[in-house]
Amino acid sequence: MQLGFSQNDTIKKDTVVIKKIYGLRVGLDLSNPLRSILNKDRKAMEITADFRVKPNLYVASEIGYLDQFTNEVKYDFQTKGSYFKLGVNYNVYKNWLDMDNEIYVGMRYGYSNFSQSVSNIIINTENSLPPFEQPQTINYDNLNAGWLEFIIGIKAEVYKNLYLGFQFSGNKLLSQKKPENFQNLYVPGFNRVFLNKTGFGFNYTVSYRFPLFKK
Amino acid sequence: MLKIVLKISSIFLFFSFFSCERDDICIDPVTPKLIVLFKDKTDHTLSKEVNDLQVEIDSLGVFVPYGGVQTTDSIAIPLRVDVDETKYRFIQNYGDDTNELSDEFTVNYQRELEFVSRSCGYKTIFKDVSISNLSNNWIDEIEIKQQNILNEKEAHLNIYH
Repeated sequence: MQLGFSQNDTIKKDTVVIKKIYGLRVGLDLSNPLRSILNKDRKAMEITADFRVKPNLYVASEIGYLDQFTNEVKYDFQTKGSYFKLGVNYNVYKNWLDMDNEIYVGMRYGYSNFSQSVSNIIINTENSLPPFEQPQTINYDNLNAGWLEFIIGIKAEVYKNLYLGFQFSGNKLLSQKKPENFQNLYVPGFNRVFLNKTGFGFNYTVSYRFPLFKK
Repeated sequence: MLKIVLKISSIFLFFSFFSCERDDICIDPVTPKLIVLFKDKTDHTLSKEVNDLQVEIDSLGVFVPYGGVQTTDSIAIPLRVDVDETKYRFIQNYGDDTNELSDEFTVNYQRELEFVSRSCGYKTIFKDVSISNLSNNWIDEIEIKQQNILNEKEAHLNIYH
């Protein structure tokens, strides 16, 4: 009697193919309303969207609006405008079975059209004279900026087609229309512009995927 | 892979919240002061100290002392940034009842507002500088060395006495 199994049996390959859901995912950023509660001088909103084009590749976009009053030591300025970002996310996370979570890296091109308005200017004399406040407000309209974002983010499917996610971006300004006799210290979508034309971004989104087809 | 991604994202997070850059502190030159050199009236190339000098600046019709009494051959004093002229009173031998001498003059200019940087804000620069209403009690002559006062790199006025 022979026990065991024959080594000559061919091992059948796992034929279970998990089909991925393709669809338009639309999200709302929750970090902006949260920041508005803490900072009454900041009003902003952002809507996100992405669409899977390959199992791990997504075309992604953000669109938003900002109205922020910034208080500096010797002047104040108000930044108002909208922005649009377009790019891709690449998922580097290997899902189990039919799970569909993401840890992704991505890139965006961002563009904003905005205005700046400077007020309460106290001329810097190093306190050698009594402070003098310029009476006028200086308005700069039709400013713009274009930049590149390097992105890292996470999206978790918490319920069928419902996602929670957060995303960080490191930004680099590529082009800008500068105001005469002022600087673009803050740009909608880019956030604070640091000296070397870099910036940082963050969002926290709840999003829903409208499924279109499986592949 | 997950660990790497989390590490990278925590680095991002760290820099986004704890980044402190040079533009948080004002280190650029702001509104320039008027730099005055005191020279000998007989030989314009020679520096000549003023004994116990007290400078007063007109502030809304009242002369207010600026700085302390000092014996010096040069001073840096502020120009008014709210109007296009600054009236000065220069007193030598200040506090000495017998030798105290006082002179007044007005510096006239056009003001321009100039943005410096995020932390420094705005400064004023002064153009088309001229002198008027000089009394000649101890000051013989005032010479304008710079038509525009843009920085503090060189003297703007020579006072001969």
